Amino acid sequence: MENSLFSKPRDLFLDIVNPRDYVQIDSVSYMYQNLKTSVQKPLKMILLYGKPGTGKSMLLHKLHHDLSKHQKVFMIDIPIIDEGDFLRVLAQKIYSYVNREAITLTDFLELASAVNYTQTPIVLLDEAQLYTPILMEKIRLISDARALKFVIALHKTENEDIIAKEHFQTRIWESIELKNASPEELKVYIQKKLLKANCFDVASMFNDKNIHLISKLTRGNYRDANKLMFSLFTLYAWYEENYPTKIKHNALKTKWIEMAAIHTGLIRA
Amino acid sequence: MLDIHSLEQRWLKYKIKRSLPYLLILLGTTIVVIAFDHFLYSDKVSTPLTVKKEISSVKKQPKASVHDEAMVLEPSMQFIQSITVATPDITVPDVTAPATPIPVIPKKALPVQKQISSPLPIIKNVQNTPPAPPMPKLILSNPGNKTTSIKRDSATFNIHEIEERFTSNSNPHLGLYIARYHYDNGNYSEAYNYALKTNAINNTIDESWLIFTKSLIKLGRTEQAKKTLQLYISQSNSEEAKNLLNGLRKEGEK
Amino acid sequence: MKKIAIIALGLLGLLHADTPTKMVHLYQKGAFLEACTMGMRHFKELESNEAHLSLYAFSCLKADQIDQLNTPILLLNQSAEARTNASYFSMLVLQKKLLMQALYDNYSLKSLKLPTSSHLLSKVFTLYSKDSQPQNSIKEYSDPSNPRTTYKLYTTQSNGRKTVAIDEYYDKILILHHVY
Repeated sequence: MENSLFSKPRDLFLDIVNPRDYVQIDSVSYMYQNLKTSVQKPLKMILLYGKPGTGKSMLLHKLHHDLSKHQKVFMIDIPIIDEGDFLRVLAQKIYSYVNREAITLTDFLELASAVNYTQTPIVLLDEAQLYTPILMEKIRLISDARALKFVIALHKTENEDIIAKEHFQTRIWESIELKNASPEELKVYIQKKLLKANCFDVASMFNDKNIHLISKLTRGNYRDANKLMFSLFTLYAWYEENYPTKIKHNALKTKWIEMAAIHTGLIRA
Repeated sequence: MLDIHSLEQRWLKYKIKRSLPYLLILLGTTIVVIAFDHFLYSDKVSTPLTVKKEISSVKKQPKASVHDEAMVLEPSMQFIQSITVATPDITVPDVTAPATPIPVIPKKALPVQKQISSPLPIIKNVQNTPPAPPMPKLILSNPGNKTTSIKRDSATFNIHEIEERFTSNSNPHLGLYIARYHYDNGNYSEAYNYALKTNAINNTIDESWLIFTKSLIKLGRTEQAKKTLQLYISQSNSEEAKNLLNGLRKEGEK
Repeated sequence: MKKIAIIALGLLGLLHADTPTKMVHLYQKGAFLEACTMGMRHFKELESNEAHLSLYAFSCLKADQIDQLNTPILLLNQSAEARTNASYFSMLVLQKKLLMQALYDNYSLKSLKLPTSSHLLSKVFTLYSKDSQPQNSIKEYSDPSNPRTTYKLYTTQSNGRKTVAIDEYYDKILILHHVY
């Protein structure tokens, strides 16, 4: 099955965030350019929010990848819940201050003022909805002291809305909402991903009807689309090995898309 | 690892579940349509859609029938109005009016007429026409015999009326009748003319062609008669025409 | 699935609405045999409506399909008009059957007193009852109400089945040929 035409496309849709796999979609690209520009401005915070699977992590990783060549950027993709550890890790990564014990906020701010960077370091925080309100308050204080700039990515739920509004409203320079992809954007996303990996035959199997069905099933969510594509190509690889005559190369089979959706839980059956 | 077989079964269940609302809608609509029509066309209920007029009571009309003592039953066509609300221009045909005539036509349609290259001239009648005869009386010969030959008493017969009627309605049967009448009475030119006209209207009547060729023979145009017969036989395979042609050939050899 | 449901609904409507309207148009055009045949094929759609049944019956009568009157006779009974027409059709069917019996089996109709009508079959039946012309295989009668019209009555076969035929003549010219 690993020699199948569909095994390589299948692996492209593994749910791994890798900035090298970033696919440029027009609307997201425009937002990303704005983000990059905004980050250079003298600001305290940028809020990146949206539903799970809309590409926030991918965007942060790409930003980290692009900015780290020119300036001090540090990304915390898995939240550090403990406040002491959070500050200790930040001090270590940004100011090269190593201490086995946890440091206080005051110590951190003193450290920040002692080490004067020409460009304010940027900290990218992913899954910020997991941080406690107290820690979020400390982050606010650090940004107020202009010690660091923060780009915060969090899920858009009711609770997160409250956090965003109450704690950061006055401090947020820019908030960028990431939305689910439209059918056209999803088509571009899937086909570009396949074409980047030279999977031309598989890329040409997607017609508008297939894209609309995939868009309807995933609601334009990139994560769900990745999962669906992974299942779909696994199915195709199996049929290629066992029933190769059933495969038509001019379009995807609606039945198999629906079967993949049932497998991934997008259809309840 | 995907369990394809169970996935296919789950997919089938999903499809059936998804189709169920549409099937129910279709079934429901069918039931509603049937019930509605049953309700609509039920005679017991008067609805605004059907215009039901009061049925007139049957009148026993004392008609001048051939059998005076018998009760005369006549049908009613009032029902047509209840059907034709949407199509108002309905003429109610009389039940006693004759249907369209059903002529006896041989099955093969023959384009023989088209193959005759030179148009045949209509021969003027130089003979005296018989005086206007009265109505003929039909006499049946051989009463005990099943096959009956009918002799016409031409003393009271008016051929001109029939010829006028033929001119106006171009009925091929009338044309044949006239041609036959003239042939029987020795008016071969008239027989030829009327047979020619009949063939022009309907070229599938065997007898018309025979009278036509026999008239040609009587008028001394045997060669033309033979050619016509040959053409006709090639299209129709008529036995009588073949017999006639064979007879002509034998006479020619003599 | 949505498309199939819509198409099926449309077809259902089309199929259901058309037969009586089509039959009326055929009857108007004088295509009685076509209307009769259509009625035979779609009888289920007509049987619940006496007006439609009557139309079907008259179409068949005009096309000389006397035997097709039997089913409408049974079903036309709800209104006075329907009963009138049912009696009329019954009489014609009876007259045809009696004529067949008389012509094939030499059954005497002299003692019978049946209703009559202006239909050709009734006229000829009455004329035959008065004068059966036993010596003639082809019976000939002139219409008392119109001396220029004559009728010939004889037995014949139609589609391999025994039946009777009546020819109408006007001035000795065959006008109509009926096979009942």
